[in-house]
Amino acid sequence: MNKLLIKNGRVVDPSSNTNKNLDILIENGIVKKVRKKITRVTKSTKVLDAKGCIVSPGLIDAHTHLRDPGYEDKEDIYSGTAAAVKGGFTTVLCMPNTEPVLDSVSSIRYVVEKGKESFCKVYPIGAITKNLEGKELAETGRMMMEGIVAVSDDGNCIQNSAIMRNALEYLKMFNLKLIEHAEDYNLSKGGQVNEGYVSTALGLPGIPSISETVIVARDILLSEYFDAPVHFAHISSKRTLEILKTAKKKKLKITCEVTPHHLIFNENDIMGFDSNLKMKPPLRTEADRRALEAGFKDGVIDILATDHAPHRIDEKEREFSLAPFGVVGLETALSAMVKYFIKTKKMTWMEIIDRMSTRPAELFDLEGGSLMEGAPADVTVIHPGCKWVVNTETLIGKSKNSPFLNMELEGCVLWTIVDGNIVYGQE
Amino acid sequence: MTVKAKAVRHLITMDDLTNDEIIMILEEAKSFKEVLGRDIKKVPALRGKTVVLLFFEASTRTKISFELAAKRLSADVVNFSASTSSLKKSESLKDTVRTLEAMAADVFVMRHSYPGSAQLVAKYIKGAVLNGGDGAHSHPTQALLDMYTIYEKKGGFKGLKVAIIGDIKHSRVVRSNIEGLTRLGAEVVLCGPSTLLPRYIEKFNVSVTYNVEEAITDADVVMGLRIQFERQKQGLLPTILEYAQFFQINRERLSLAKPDVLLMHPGPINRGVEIESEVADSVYSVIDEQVTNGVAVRMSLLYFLVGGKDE
Repeated sequence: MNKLLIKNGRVVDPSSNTNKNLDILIENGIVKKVRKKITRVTKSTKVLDAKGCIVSPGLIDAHTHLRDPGYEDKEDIYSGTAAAVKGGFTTVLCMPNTEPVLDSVSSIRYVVEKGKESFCKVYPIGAITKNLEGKELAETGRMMMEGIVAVSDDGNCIQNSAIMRNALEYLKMFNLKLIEHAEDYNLSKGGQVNEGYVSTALGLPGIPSISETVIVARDILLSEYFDAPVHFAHISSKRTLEILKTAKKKKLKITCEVTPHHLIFNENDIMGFDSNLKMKPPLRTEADRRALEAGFKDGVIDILATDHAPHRIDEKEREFSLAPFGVVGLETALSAMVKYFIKTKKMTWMEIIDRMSTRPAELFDLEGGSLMEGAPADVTVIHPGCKWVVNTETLIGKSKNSPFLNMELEGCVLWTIVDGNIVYGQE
Repeated sequence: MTVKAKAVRHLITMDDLTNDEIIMILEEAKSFKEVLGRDIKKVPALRGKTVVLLFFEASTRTKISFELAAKRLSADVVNFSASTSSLKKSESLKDTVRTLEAMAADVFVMRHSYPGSAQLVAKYIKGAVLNGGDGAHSHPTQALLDMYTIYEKKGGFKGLKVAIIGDIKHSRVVRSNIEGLTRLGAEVVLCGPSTLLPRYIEKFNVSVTYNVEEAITDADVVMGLRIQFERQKQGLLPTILEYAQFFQINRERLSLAKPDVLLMHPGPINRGVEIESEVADSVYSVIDEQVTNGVAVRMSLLYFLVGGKDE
């Protein structure tokens, strides 16, 4: 019998609204007991002393690019999940913009099988349309049988509203969420950074925030009309947030996520042409950032998601306009939240863990997100006081394109436990 | 005793120069202009130095101007040309410039169609980088030669009204000119079709108008910018004809300016589009002089950046 006891930690579990010092006994991959003091254990029970630490249900990232198959030079399922567990994640949902695209039974099967041998739980997100072309629907039903938990054409956005309609109607049979990367390509074409003061100063073509907002508005209307759920990925602007708020007030089936970088950086940080701050959607204004921060706290924004998007260093070292969009985030998301939200008292541990674990599990109907007795033993133990510097040495993923490079963050993961097994941290 | 080498100076944007340095470069350019008027137009100021002209975008005047400037300072000049489209596939910019630097070049004059490229190169090499235009971002030597032309004719910048008319959005010249001119006390008015004025441009310490008469009225300097015919295809202008009707600098409009107005243009000009042909050849026009001044200013600048350095 595989037994593990986590002692003396402060258990923060939003699923049961628990926030106190408790011991957790794990048996056969399941949370067996959560008590004030668990002393009677067998000799074979492994004990982890979590004194001074936060014990959280395992973190869940609903937006990861593992780049496997096809772009293993940037990341693969092993390196990506190694980075995930180092960052405290026990589950990742991976996006389908691989080569080939995850739009078929065989490609989904490949990810699921390889995921089983990786460091954490990997759930693929299937493509909405074949080859992400925005034309014909991919085999959603058959992919669901193989284990997809949502669909998305992330990185691409279906421009044709009739096709979007078909997708939303078709998905209703399967109870799967559609994750939308909202971008009107006619408005964003050629753009490199947010359209505004910075794009004008740098002479870079701009991506106006309305290129996001018009698609979000369209999709809210479609969602309402067809009574079909839509989850908006990586929202970036104040105006987008305002119309999402209105939709949520009307109790429409709308949810959304925000990334750590959109919560922490703004367009002014790009004045030095740092391509590690180049992503889609682009960093917006400080007013946008502040609105996102408020929406993240008050719950209009449901979850935090990394949009972990690895790119090789030499790709990012090119001219800003030639460098690819995207930044890595799995290893820094939690520490960034600790430094910029918890230590600053903007949000509580309970709120952050809710947005990073319990809510994502609810949204995508996943096991996890809870430390109640009987839950799968996915646990993250966090030392809140430790500080570390993000650099190419401390990051372990294949790609190092982090917006936090050379910055000091706070909070370290001591142990990451998946189904009762320690997958990261000292045994 | 060791003599400390001067720290490497780059010129990427006008931000890299203080106001005093700008004036110093303009003053020094006067004596270099005098050199250009001599029989033997050459001084040994940069003898033994190597200047690489790194042009990733087609350019005739800027390249020739820099080449002459460097040669008249007795520097060795090496030309490197590549199209940006071939760059996408071939060797990266980083590797290209490192290779060239390994051949012991001192100055890289760089022209590139993407913003930020000069700054990127400055990160990878030890030599000085002189930005000869990077996309729509910055073109400081053009601004300096424009400023020299104004300085020579007007004696200063304080209180001058400078109207810049045309495609503001896609112009690197205008960004550098705004910075230099406003810092030295000139008042800059921008004018162009609303689709060719970038968002938030009014935050750059300038005033903005769609009315060309208003822009030109009482101006000390009127500067036209080139209108690319492709703006019509991009849907930013209905026709070139309509542009000309609303924004062309013509005799009638120019008569609203101060009597001693200077008419400038970075070139190449589209006669009959942004400037009426006879106005371009009128007594107000200093367009040809700008070209001459370009060589003198670039000599002054090269001398400022790498001349007289002790090892």
